[in-house]
Amino acid sequence: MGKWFVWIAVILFITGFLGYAKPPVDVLIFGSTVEAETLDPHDTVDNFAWRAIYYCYDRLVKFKDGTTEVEPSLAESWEISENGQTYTFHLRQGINFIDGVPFNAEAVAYSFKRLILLGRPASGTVEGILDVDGIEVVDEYTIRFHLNFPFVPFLGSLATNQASIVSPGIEQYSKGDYAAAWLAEHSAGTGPFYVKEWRRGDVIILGRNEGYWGTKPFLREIHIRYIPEAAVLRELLEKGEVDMGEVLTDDQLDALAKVSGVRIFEAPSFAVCRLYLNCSKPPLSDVRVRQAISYAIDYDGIIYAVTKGHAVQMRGPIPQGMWGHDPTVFQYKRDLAKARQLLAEAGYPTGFKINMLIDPGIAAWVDIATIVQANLAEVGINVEIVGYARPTMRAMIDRGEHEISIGYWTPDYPDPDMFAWYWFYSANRGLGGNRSFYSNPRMDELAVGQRAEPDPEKRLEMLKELQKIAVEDAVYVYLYQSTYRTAMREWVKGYVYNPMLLYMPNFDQIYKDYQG
Amino acid sequence: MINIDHIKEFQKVFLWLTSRPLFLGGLVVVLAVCIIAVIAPLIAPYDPIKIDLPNRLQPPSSAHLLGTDHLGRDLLSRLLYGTRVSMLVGVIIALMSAVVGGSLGLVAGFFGRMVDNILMRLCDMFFAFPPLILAMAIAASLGPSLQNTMLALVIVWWPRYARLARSQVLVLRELDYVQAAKAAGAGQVRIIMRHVFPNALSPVLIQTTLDVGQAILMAASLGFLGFGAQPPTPEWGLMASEGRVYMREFWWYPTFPSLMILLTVLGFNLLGDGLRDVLDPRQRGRFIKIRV
Amino acid sequence: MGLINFVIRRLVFQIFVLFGVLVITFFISHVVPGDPALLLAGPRASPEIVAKLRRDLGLDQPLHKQFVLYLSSLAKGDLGTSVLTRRPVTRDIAERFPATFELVTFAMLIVVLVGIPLGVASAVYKERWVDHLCRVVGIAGASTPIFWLGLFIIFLFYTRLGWLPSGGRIGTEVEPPIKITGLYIVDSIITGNWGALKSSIEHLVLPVFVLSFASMASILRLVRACMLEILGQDYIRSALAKGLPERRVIFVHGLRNALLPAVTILGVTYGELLQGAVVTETIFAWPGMARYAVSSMTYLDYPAIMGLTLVSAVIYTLINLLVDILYGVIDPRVRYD
Repeated sequence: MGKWFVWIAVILFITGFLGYAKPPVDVLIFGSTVEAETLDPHDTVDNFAWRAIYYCYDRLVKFKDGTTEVEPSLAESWEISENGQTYTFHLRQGINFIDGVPFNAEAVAYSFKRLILLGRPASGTVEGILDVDGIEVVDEYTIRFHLNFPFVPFLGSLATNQASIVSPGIEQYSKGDYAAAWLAEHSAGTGPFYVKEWRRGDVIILGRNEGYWGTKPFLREIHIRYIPEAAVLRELLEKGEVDMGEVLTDDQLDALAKVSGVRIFEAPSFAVCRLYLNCSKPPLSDVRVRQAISYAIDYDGIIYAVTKGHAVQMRGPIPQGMWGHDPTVFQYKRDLAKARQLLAEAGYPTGFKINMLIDPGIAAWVDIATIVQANLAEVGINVEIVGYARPTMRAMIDRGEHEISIGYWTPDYPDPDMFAWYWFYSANRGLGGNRSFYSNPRMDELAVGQRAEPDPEKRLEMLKELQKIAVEDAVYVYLYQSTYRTAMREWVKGYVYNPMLLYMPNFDQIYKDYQG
Repeated sequence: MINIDHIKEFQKVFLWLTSRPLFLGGLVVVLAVCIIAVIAPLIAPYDPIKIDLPNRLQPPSSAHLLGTDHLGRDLLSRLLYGTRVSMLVGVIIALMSAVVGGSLGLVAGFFGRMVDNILMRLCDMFFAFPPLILAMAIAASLGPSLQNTMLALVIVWWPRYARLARSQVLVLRELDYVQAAKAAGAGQVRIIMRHVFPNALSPVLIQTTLDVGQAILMAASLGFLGFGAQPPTPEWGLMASEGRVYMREFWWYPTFPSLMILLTVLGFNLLGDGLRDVLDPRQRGRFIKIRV
Repeated sequence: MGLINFVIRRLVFQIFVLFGVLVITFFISHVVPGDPALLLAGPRASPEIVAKLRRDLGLDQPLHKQFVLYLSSLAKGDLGTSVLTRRPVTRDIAERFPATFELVTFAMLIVVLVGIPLGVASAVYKERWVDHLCRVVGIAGASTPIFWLGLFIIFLFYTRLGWLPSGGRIGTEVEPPIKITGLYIVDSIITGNWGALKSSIEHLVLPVFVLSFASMASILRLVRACMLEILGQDYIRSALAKGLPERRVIFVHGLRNALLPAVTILGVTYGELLQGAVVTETIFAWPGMARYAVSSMTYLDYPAIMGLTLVSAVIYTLINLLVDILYGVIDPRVRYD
């Protein structure tokens, strides 16, 4: 009997002390269903890692508030040469990195050299554009970049996470790896925050950089908690135990929108979803087959079921809202008769069998594949859904072993080059971006040409033609362009959305107000 | 023609069954599940993989008795077809493990020495792995699919049966009538088939019954984690996984598949437990030595 | 003497087994039809970057060379570098191990403290409703899919009732206790950090409940069976005939003898709990080793998969070794097997 009393007492003790204390108003709790793998800005291309990293560092330029324009950050001013190949930056003075090392042109040079030499995925941003010997330290506060060709979007690319300026002081931790192992879990930047602690699989704690050269942020600490189960994250948000949360499903967000105290923010983004059609494999090598598929897809149904209407159908490969998008380009709509006719013309009146490769871990992809399977069945195309773990799937895509596949794509810098060159240039076949293994000499000319064309009028012309061919040749099935949605408690204020900074809320300006 | 003897027999069986309510319960559930698995195509109101987007996430209604999932597919039909998948998976895994492991164990126990030694060492190596982790690793390596999951679980489970069969054989081998048969000159195979095998059977049978339930549970867990059945297969674990984000507003979606798993596994566990009581009450002591 | 000999023999034997485990593990993770270098390289990496990564990870070497390399680094205590986190796998595992250990050990405690009394009750009131209830509860536990149970419990106790937290080991407003063992409960008691203690206990309740519920059946069944056997024995009957109080007879004579074989099932149970932890940690956002296993396997992080499988096999082996030794202690006949 005594035993039972002890148990009851314990339970009472536990339940009796309930009540969740709100965290201090200057501490932000952020819930994430995806964990960062590494915090090295010269390594990762994962938005969820960038979320923790971005505000620990500064870059030469930054995006102006919620726009895609750049304004000075660590660089006060700059000049671009006539031929567009030489950029000279004049740096701000009197700034130190969080480890005390002074910020100057040497540090910038070190940063970019490290990015290139480390050779990790992040270096793709400058690959073929800038080499180590193109970096010139002119004087203590002036740095010059000699590009391999006049890369038009260069300035925008300097605001990306990959272009973060890292302190040369990290070299003391280097084991012949440019301190990669150390920087993977620490930060060494000039930014408004720094990495205070990382309890793996649990939480990343960012602390305020009290010596920050710019406007000091309101938040003293940010806890980025890893909550793998979206259902649980939703509960935490609703109870107010976390202040902001991502990534939740559209159904969950719709439900949360009705909860008082929770605010859902929505805005169009440049994130797109497309199907890859492997042009190097019959029958997909026949453009009529690809067009037929494009006509058979139920775009509205997919947008309804998968995004609950929070997306717009893509109109060509360049997202709407981005400079260079051609709003007059053709857009496929569901037309089964047309699809069947095209298939018959191509010699497949009774359809054929084909694979669709996905990563079954992504619920949206599973759903899209299921819907596509049903759609194409109506014109006689028998789709078999093949699921592989992400690394395997990516390897297969890189080798061109897929027939139909699927992917998301977000631009790193605000320029149509992120789509035009990556998706259609034949040398980018494979994971590089051209996942349909498309090869068209005219497209190659346009894709390569547009990124070096300094005259915006001419460039626009090239892009227009590129989009026209891209759609007519049905290189991809252009599914949808997502609306970005995120959830936060109403006491979170100061949030400003930037389409280039998806999943990276502006921690440096956010504050909490429990009264208002 | 039914006469009084038949009725008496029936009465005996009836009383016997009802005196063991757990066994009876298990038997009923297992039979029901088996029947459903067989007649599923006949009683399912809809095509389990047909999507109906405008009708996604409907609550239970007269049109859809258990509601619809996030792509508008009828949950009742998916559950019914899922019975076939789970039964197939469970039975194949348990049977194959029993057959493979059991035969190897029989051989080891009977021939002893070298063969026994090698086999037991091999068993030990596989015993060193936590079954779920090993199954995950195999399924991840070969690619997530129902077949690979089944393969993985058979690879993980055969040692138990080998051990079981072997220890039975070791005991039986020494028994008088087997010795007598040997002395009389009967061939090895004959001895195995006629004397050893039937008696080694009962603990294996019990373990197999229990294992069908465990296999279903494991396969569902693996399906939940993403290593098992792939969409759009109507497998209960996968359905629960797909439905887990909808727990709040659409609770029926992950709950019904989970309850089916619970019920089915419960049935097999009760049946196995009951069989154990029925077949050989003294054998209970033997099971202690079964390894992790 | 016989016992020491026995222990040594078992130890040597288990080491041999472990080697076999290594081979099996290595084989499994290299049969993969994928390329971790490609995963690491990201969406816009050039072939040069991928090739460099492949060299860094040693993936361009022939299989047997890779195995030898693996063995030699293993001898130095190096389990390789995780492809995803770029850190030594040993560190990744060591960081997460205490969380899993805490969860599983407390669940074990509950299983023992609740399972044994239930098993006794079941045996004493055999065939009555108490017995049936206990058995059904036990078997129900063994049949319930943990993933659903976890979500349901969270829904009930956190969302609806608001009694207990869900997610994480400790509340966000509390600092974890200073790390001595890595077990929050133990560390907070040692350092007298009562706030951390309370928060840790709160966060432990739901996952421990879910995990232990699933593993109750084995102990319950075993204790019941052993008690039944013993209670049927002559010496029990004579003790009762002599007039000794019933309770004393059951607990002192009956239970004590039943407990000895029950100890042997502890190994099995611990193993079951370790596996149940895989799903439990995922649902409850518990930063432990088991959940790390899931993400490593999902992303085909070879070194991590191999490290984890090896570590869990080692743990299992240790448990089995302990069980073997216990057997040897209890039943001397086994020593000369």
